[in-house]
Amino acid sequence: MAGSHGPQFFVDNKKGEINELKVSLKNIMSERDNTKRRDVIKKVIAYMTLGIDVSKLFTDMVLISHTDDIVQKKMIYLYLVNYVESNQEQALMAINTFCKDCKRISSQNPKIRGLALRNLCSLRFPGAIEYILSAIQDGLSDPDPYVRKTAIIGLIKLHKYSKNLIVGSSFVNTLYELIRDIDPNVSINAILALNEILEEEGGIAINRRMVIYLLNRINSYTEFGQSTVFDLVAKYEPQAEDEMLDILNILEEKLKHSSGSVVLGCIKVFLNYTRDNQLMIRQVFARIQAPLVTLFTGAEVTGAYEQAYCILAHIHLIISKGAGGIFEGDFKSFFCKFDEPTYIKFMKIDILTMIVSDQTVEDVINELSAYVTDVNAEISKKSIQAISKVAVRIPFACVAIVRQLLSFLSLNIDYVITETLVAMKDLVRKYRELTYEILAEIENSLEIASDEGKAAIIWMIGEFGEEITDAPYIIENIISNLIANENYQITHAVLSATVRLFLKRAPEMRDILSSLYSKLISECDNPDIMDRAGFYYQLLRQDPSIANEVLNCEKHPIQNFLEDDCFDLQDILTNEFNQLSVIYQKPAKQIIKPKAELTVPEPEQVTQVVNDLLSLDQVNLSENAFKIDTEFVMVSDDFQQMWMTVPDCIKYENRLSRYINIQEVENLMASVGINCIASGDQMGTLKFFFYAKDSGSDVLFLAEFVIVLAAKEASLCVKCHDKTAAENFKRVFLQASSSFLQS
Amino acid sequence: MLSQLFVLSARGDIIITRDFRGDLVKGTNEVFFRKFKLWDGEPPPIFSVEGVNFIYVKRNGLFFVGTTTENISPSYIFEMILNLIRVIKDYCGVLSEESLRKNFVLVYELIDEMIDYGHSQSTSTEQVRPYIVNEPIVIDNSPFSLKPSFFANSVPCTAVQRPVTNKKSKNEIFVDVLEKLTVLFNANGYIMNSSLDGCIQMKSFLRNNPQLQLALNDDLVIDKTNAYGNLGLDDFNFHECVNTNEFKDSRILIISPPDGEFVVMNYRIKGDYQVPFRIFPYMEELNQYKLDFSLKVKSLFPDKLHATNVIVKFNMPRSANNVCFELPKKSVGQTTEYKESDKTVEWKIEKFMGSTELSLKTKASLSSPATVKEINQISMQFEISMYNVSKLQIKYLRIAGQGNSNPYRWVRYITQSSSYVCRV
Repeated sequence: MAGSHGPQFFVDNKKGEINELKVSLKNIMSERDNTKRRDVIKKVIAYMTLGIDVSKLFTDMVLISHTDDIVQKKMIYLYLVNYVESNQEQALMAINTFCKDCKRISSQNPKIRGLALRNLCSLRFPGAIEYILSAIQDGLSDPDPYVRKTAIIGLIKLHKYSKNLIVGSSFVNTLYELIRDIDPNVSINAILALNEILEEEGGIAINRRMVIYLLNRINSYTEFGQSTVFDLVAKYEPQAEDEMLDILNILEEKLKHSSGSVVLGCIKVFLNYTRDNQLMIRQVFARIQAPLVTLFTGAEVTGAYEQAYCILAHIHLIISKGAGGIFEGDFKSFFCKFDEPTYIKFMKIDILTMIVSDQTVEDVINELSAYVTDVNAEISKKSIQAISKVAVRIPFACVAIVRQLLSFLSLNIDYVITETLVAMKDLVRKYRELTYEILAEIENSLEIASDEGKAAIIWMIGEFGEEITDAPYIIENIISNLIANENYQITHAVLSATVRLFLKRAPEMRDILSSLYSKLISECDNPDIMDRAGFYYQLLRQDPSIANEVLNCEKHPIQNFLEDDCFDLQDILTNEFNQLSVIYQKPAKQIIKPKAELTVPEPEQVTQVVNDLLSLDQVNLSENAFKIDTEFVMVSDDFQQMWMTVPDCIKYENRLSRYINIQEVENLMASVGINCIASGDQMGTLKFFFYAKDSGSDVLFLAEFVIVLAAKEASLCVKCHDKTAAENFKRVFLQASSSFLQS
Repeated sequence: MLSQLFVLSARGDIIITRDFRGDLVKGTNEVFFRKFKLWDGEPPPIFSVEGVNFIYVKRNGLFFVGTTTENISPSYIFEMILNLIRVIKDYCGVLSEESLRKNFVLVYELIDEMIDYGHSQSTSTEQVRPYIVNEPIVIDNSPFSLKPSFFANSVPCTAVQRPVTNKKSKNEIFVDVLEKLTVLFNANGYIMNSSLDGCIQMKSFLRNNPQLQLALNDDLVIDKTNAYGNLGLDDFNFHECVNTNEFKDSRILIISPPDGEFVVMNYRIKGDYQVPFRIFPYMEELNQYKLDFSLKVKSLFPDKLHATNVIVKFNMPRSANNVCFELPKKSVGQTTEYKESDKTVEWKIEKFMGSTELSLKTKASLSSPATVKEINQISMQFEISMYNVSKLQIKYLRIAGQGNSNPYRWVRYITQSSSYVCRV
C-alpha cells in the first residue's frame, strides 16, 4: 500500500533540490551574465535563511567566488562565513579569496577591502589566525576609515577566539592611539575594542586628558558613540570639585537630547559624580525630572512603548532612591492611557503608589479606582493592590480609602471582590481601628468571592470574632456547607478561625468546634490539615490559656513595606544605572550567568543522550553499539528504488498522547539523525517517509510513518534487510517520538 | 552588545537571522517564541530565560529580537533595533513579512553595515547607502500591508511607502506637526487632566541632503516659568542632527537632515488647553431593568475644518441585553455597532464638522440591576488635519543651496487623540 503511494509524496523534496542547486552552481561557473549568476546564489542564501542545511555546496561556492560583481561577492561571503565551521578542510580555499580582497594592491575599492576584512575576521577556526592577524595589521593603517573601523572590530573577534593573543600585544597601544583618529566611528570602535579586550582589567584605562578630549569632540559622535563615551566618563573620578562641575556643565546640554540612551548615559554621570553629596544630588534630581518625563511621553507618542518602558523603569529606580518628591508635581503624567500595553500600565501604577503624597492622594485614589473596572482583569487586580499600598503609605487617608475599597464589593465582579477582600485583610493588620467598619460590610461577599477571598473573610472572622456579634453563626454556616477535601485553603482557614474563635467565645463555639472536628475526622484526607487539627487538639487539651497565648497573641502593628527597606539593593542599582539590572530590579550578579552555565536546550544534546542510553542497552546485544549516522544524506531516487525492493520488516501501531504537526515530528526525528525525505498532510492524515543509516554496520533503514490526527492513531512501517538492526532503529524512533506517543 | 538578532513572523518562523558573536547556542529563537506565547498576559519587551536576555520590538506583526548575555544598556539596544527597523523601512518602503522575505539579501546587507559583532556601526540611511548594492524589490501596496504611523491615514500619500533610495523620486520634503492629546473628563464634562505630546517629524527626499532652516513662530513660549497665561511648552528635546544655537533667541532650528524619516523635535504641554471635543453623557435609569444612555459630543474647532476616523466607544453593563440605538433623523455617515461578546458599543462618525454637535441614544434592558460604574468610561478616537492645539507654528522652512530648483515642501498639522476619555 505504502509503495503505491510513495511517488506522490515526493513534492517537497529538499535534498533533491540541493542537488539541483549544485548542478546550477557548476553551470554558472562559466556564465558571464551577472543577473543569472546572482539568481542562483540568491537561491542558496534563501535556503540558508530557511534553516535548510546547504553546507554541501561549500566547495562550489568557493569556486565561484572569483568575481568582480560586488552583489555576488556579498552573498558568497555571507554563505562562506556561515558554513566555514562545518567545512574546515575546504575553508583554507576560502581564506585565499578573502585575503586577496583585503590587500590594497589587488583591491582598489575600500568597500571591498572592508567587506572582505569583516568577513575574514568572522571565520572561527585555528588555521585562519595568521592570515587574519596580518590582514588586521594592514587594515588598522588603511587610508580609508571604513577599513580601519572594520579592522578594530576584527581585533575584538580575534580576541574572543583566542584570549591571550591581543592582550599585552602592541595592538593595545595602537588602539589607544586610534581613539584620536579623525573619524569618529573609528574612535568609538577603538574604545569599544579596548573595553572588551581589557575586560579582565576592568576595561579601558581612563585619565583626565582622555575624558576632556572625548567631551570636546562629543558632538562629532553619533548618539551611540555618545552613550559609549558617557559610559566611560561615568567611570572616571574627577580630582576636584571644579573639574567635576566643568564636566557636568558640558553634559547638561545633552539632557535635551531625544535619544534615551544618551540622556540616561548622561544621567548616570550626574548620579555617579554627586553620589556622596546630598545637596547636589537633590539638585540633580530636580534637573533630570523634566527630560525624563519628556522622553517617555515622546516615546509613547511615536509608539515606541519599549523605549518608554525602559525610561519608566529608570524613573521607578530614581524614585525609590528618594526622588519621589521631584515627580510629585507631575503625577498626572503617570496616569494610564487606555490603549497602552499592560507592562506600561503596571509600571505607571507602581510609580503612582510611590509618589503619592498627602496633597495628591485624593486624585491618585480616584484615578486608581477608575482602573478597577478595566476590562483587563490583571490591571483591575493590580490597581486594587495599589490602592491598599497607598492606604498603608498615607495613614490619614486610610478611612476614605477603605470606604472606596468597600464600594468595589458592590461591583459584583468575582475577581474584584476577591482582590478587595485580600487587600482589606492586609489593611486591618495595620489599621486595627478600621476593623468594625470593614467587618460590617464583608459578610455579604462570602457568597460571591472566590476561594482566596473566602479565606480572607474567614481569617478576619477568626481574628476579630469578639467584635462581630454573629461570628459563631457565620462560622457554623460555613462549616455546615464545608466539603473538607474540596479546597484545602478554605478548610485550613476555617479550622484556625474556629479554634481561635473558640478561645474567645467558648460557650457559643463548643458545639461548633466539635462538629468541625467530627467532620474533619470522617471526611478530610489531607495530612497537613489533619496534622494541624491534631496540634490544636493537643494544645487545647494541655491548657486553653496557653493556647490562647499562642493563637491569639498581641500582634505588632505593621509599619513599613519590605521593599522600602532594601536600601542595599538600591545602591547596587545606582552603580548599574542604564543597564539591564534596572529593568529586572536585580543586581548584575543575579542576572548575568557565566557563559558556561547557559543552558538553552541544544538539539545536539538530545542526540547524545539518546545514543548514550542506547549504547548502554546494546552492550549485551551486539559488540558494535548501534549509532545512527547523523551526517548521512540520501537522494530521493535512491530512496524510491529501495522502497520498491526492500521488504517490510517491522510494523508497529500506537496512539497519540497529544496533538502534533508535521514540522515538530520532522524536528524531533532530525534531532536523532532520522531524516525526512518527504512528508505531506492530506485532510488531517500526516504521512512521512524517513531514512537513516547505522554508522557501524552501514545498514539502511527506510520508514513510513502515518498519523491520523482525528483518530489519534499512529502507525510505523520499517523496511530493512536486518531484523535485529530494525528493532534498534525502532527503539530510537520511539524514543524520539515519546513526547507525543502513548507509552 | 548583541549576541544574535533575528526577525520572526507572527507565527514564530524565522525570516532573518544573524549570529554576531557565536556565544549562544542555536535555537534561542524557539526559546524566545515559546516564552512569549506562554507568558501570562502581555510580556514586557525585555525578559530573560536561563541567563539569556531577550530584548524585542514588535512592529507590523514582526518580532525583531536581540539576545545578549551582558548587563548592557537596554535603551541603547532598543534604539539600535528601532534604528534598524527605520532604515529597513526606508529601503523597502513597507515593513511587512512579504517585503522582508522578498528583500532578505538586502536586509542582511543593511544589518551587516549597521551592526558588526553586536556593536552599533552606521546608524542612518545615508551612512549605509554607499555600501549597499542590492536594489529593493518594491511590494505593491496591498490592502493588507500596514501603513506606517508617520502619515495619517486620512490623507492619501504614496510617498511614505516609497523607498528613499528610489532615484526617480521627486526633490521634496514632508514636514508634519503631530500633536497627540490626552484628556480626561468627569461625568459633568469638567476636565480632570489634560496633556499634549507633540513632535515635528520629517521625511526628506531632498537631493544631496542640504542644510535646512526651520523657523518656528517667534511668540512660542519655551520657558513657562515667566509666561503668564500663555500656552507654552513644558519641555522638549531634539534629534541628533539639530543645531539649537539659535533656538532660544530666534526660534530657528538648523537641521542637517538624514535621509528618510526622523523626529526633529519632541515637546510636551501639561495643563489646560482648548480641547477639540467635549463629551456629555446622560444616564437615565427608567427602572431597575431599563436603561437609557444619551451621549452628546460637541466639536469646538473652527467650522471650516473637520475630524475624520472618529470613533466613540463605551461598554454596556454586563447584564445588558436588547441593546438598540437611536440616531437623530438627518444624521449621515454615522454607524453604530454593538458587540454582544464583550458588551462594547462603537459609534463611528466618518466626518465630524467643526463647531457642531452630534448625539446618540442607547437603550438597553437589563437582566439584573446594574450600576453606572459598569459603563466606566467613554473613549474617543479622532484625527483633525490642518489643526493643532498648541501655539506652535512653522514660520518658514529654508533649504540651502538649491539654486533654481525649488523643492516641494509639504507642511501639515495633525491633531490626534492619544487617550481621550470621559469617566462616567
